[in-house]
Amino acid sequence: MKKILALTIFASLFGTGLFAQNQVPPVEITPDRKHAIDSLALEKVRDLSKYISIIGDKTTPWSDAQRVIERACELFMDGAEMGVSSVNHPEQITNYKVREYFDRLMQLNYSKVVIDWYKIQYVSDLERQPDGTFVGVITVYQKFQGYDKEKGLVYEDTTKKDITIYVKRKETQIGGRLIGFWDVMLGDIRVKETSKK
Amino acid sequence: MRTLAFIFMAFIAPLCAMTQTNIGGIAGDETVFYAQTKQVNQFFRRFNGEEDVTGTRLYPGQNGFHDLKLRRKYMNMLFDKDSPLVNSDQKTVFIEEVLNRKAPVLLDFHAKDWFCEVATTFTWKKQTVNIILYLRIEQQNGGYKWVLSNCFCDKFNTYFNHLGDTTNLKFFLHPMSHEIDFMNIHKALDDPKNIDFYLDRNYAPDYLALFVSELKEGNLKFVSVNNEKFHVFQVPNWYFEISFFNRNNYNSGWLISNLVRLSPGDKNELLKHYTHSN
Amino acid sequence: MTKSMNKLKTIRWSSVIVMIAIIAMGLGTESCKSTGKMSKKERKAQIEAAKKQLQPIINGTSTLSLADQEKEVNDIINKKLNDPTVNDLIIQAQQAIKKAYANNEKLHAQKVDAAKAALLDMLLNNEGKSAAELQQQLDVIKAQNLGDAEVNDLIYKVQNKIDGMRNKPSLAVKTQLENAFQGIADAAKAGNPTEADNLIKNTLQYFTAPDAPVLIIIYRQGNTVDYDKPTTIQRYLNFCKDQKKSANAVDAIQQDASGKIKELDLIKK
Repeated sequence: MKKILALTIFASLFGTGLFAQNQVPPVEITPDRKHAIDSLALEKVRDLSKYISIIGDKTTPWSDAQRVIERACELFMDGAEMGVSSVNHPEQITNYKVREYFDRLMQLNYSKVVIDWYKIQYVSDLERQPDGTFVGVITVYQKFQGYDKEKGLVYEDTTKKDITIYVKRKETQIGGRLIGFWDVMLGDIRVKETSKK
Repeated sequence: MRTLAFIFMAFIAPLCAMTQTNIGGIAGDETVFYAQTKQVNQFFRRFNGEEDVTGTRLYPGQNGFHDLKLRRKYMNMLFDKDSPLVNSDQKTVFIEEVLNRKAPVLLDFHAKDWFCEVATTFTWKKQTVNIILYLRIEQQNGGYKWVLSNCFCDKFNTYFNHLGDTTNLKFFLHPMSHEIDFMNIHKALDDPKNIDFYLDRNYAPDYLALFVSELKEGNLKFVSVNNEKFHVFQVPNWYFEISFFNRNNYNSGWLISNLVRLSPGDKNELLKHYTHSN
Repeated sequence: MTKSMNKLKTIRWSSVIVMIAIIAMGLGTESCKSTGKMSKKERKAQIEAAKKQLQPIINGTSTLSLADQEKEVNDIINKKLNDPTVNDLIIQAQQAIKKAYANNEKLHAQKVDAAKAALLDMLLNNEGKSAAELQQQLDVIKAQNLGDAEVNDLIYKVQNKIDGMRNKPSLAVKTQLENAFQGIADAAKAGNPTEADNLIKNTLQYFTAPDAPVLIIIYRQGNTVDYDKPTTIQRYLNFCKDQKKSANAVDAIQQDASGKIKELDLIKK
């Protein structure tokens, strides 16, 4: 197995107006550095999980939820989707655009929604794509509870979320300094139901 | 059940006490999730002993990296315990061979000898069809990508129903056709339903070519991915299959669902069988 | 020369006062003995004098301090002139003094309140004033000599802050920024978005512009420094609010000539 440890990135730049057009020099990822990038990616997932909780929370004012949906969408690459399947029909996967998924989450017809995240998570190795971007998958588990005003808890499920993360090395000039940074974006998310009540 | 209890005590329990950066705060029973082989990536790490008992990634030079004792603990967890296709004696021999002190075997994500099988649904000429896609990892520009290496659709077989037929005495081009500039060939080509009688009996249909053609012609429309599994030939003299088991116990996630001891020549036969290649 | 002349004059004047006091004491003893014998003419003169003394006190036109006015009224009372008009004037004078005291207290309280408010503003320094500007403002308050314990305590704190700004400018701003980040996160967490928004607005005043760049260091080892994607201060402050967390400490601050922050480096806590 190729050692990720000794991985050398020849990260190329796809210059937008913001970023310098020059080639980013090769970057060696030591385990420590990989750990820092993993943490950064995990933090984006953590940010997303918080946004999901705020969007799902029935006490969140509509305008706040809208603003948070915007923030959440900004974490994603263009065109990212959520592929959702249930325990009973694992072969039926419904794909939602992330914004559509958040809108549906906000409009769920429960009097109260509780979204919690399990502590366990798994961060895969980062694999290099042909275009130089690194891609990995972070797995997290979420518990969802839907309450009815009269009947109480009416829906509960636990889902496994496999979240694609894209990591790209970029450089930009800020105040005369050349800044090398890691652009971490979320991609498609596979949502698998693991249990339902 | 006793085995499960043992695995929990010996292996999963220490995981519960671990501390790591947490995403959430549910304090409930997460041991199932800890135990679950959550990604194929984790299957590789556990198989190779590149993850310690707390789930932390191990790197070359670190204590425990590729450690055989650690791998033995993981190896037992990596089999589907309910599979009728995993013989316990074969499993024992497999583990011993993989963990051979002199020549331990490691899996390599980027190497050959393993591929993915994806079960999909399409509509083809307004009817629902199941198509199996085969993908393998290919290197490009210092990076990697999954590429389609083959596919199989039983509906495509109908095109070749008469392939290799030796009984028909009607549909053929007579042996002197060349002398008349194959002026008779139009009779064969004007009757497409029987065209497969005219093919080389050893011809191997290229389903992937058909697949691409049908997609481009607009006859084939993608509906969904239903399932994926992996076929691995990287352990000498062994074939195994990895599938995902979505269940609520310690034996869940990506596990070995089929294990076969290969005799010389078996590999090619199996490859043919599993990839529908010829 | 003028000084020594003045000194001489003062000494002489003091001696004269002492001598008059001694004579007066002798006369006083004598007059005490002869109170009942005070001639009508003398009494009338004293009553007139008392009226003249009391009237400016009642009108509020006296140039004496309130304490001296009080003393003057007491002296008149002690003369026991027993004149109804004087007695009435005494009551009026006493009420006037009492009212003046109350007014003074009210004015003082107003000054104390104003000073406290100004000092608290100076502590927050939301307008991003320089140490010199703050010192000038503080000196004005100090000169009022309000003699209030709380004001003095705040003066002490503001002076410390100004000294801190002069000695370690970035350190003081660093703490203020980190407190602001935490404050925004805490306000949002406590379900008080308006407070969070106000804090964001105030914190933005430290910066040259809302789009001043903010860099977040995720890894640093020797010369190797890795950053998160650059953001702006406005986006970062809103991020603290939305995520209800302040996960980064201030690592470096770059200020322009006016002391406003033009670039901020943060680092994972």
